[in-house]
Amino acid sequence: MNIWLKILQWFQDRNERNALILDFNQHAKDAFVAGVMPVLMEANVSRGVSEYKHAYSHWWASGFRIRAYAGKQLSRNEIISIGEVIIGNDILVRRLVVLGFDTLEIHCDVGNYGCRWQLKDYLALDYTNMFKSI
Amino acid sequence: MRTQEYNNIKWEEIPTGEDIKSTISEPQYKNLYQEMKVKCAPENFMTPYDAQKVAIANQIYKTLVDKERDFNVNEEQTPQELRDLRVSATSSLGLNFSPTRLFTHISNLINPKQYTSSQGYYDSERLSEANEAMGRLIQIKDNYEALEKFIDTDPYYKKITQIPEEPEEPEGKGLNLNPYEIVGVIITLGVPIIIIYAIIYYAISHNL
Repeated sequence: MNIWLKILQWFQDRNERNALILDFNQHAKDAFVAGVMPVLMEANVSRGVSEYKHAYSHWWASGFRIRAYAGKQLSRNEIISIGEVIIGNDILVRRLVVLGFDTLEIHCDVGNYGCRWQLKDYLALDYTNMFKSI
Repeated sequence: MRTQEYNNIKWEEIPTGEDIKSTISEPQYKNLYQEMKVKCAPENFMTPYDAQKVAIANQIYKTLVDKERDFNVNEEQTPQELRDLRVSATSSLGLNFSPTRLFTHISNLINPKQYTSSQGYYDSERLSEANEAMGRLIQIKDNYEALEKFIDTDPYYKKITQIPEEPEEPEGKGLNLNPYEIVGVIITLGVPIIIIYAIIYYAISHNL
């Protein structure tokens, strides 16, 4: 029965990961069209970094890779500022971690430079309030 | 879902807590030439091997090595040829040249703080000029080309970095010798005279 639950969980996680990617891409498109974001972002799954693994990391595809379409090479600061938008969203970060992602990677469509972050460092757990309701 | 595209990306690990406002942690290069020489080395494109990029990097690197004397200069003296090489390296090799060094160099020169009372020298007019220049500079701090244009065309930057011309010395008003030159003339003319006097005195004293 445990195996069966694990299989079901695997399919459910896979569906949720795909749904997250599609949801992210749709919102990124809408934000770009509306002029909220200056670059068009597209998310994909990647191998990730083995050193960043945590308890929920996907065994093979734990990287959340974002490609930023800017038409030119983005500077390090610009890529970091895009990363800050992602890691500043606590709910998104927690959702990524729970769905097995441990690495956030961002690169642009020109050049071969990118930055990556270890997602579990940005979970922003507030231990002071955790036990107050108990 | 597509995976593993763009396999030849050079990733930089961003440590926890670093944000866009924190100190840039990449290696500090003395000038653009030093940075290009490190980043355009052909071996950087051999893992994974990219023959096209190795060929382009080889051409750029050769130019850097051949023209080291012309290119290895301060930021404000960067020749246009080196700037064009940087643009070529950025587009064809996908390299990223941080504008931070250039921005820091320019901002240190035009820093309005040097005209504040905290530095012991308050100058309202210069502070106002420097403040306006710094405002223009901050808007372009992430744009390499704009920073280079700032060096070439910004009037305040050119004003403070221009070497003042030495005043021309008036002609025909005396010898205008400095003390060292005067001592040199005395020694050059005086020593033979003393020697000749000594010889004559010796001759006279010994009835030669």
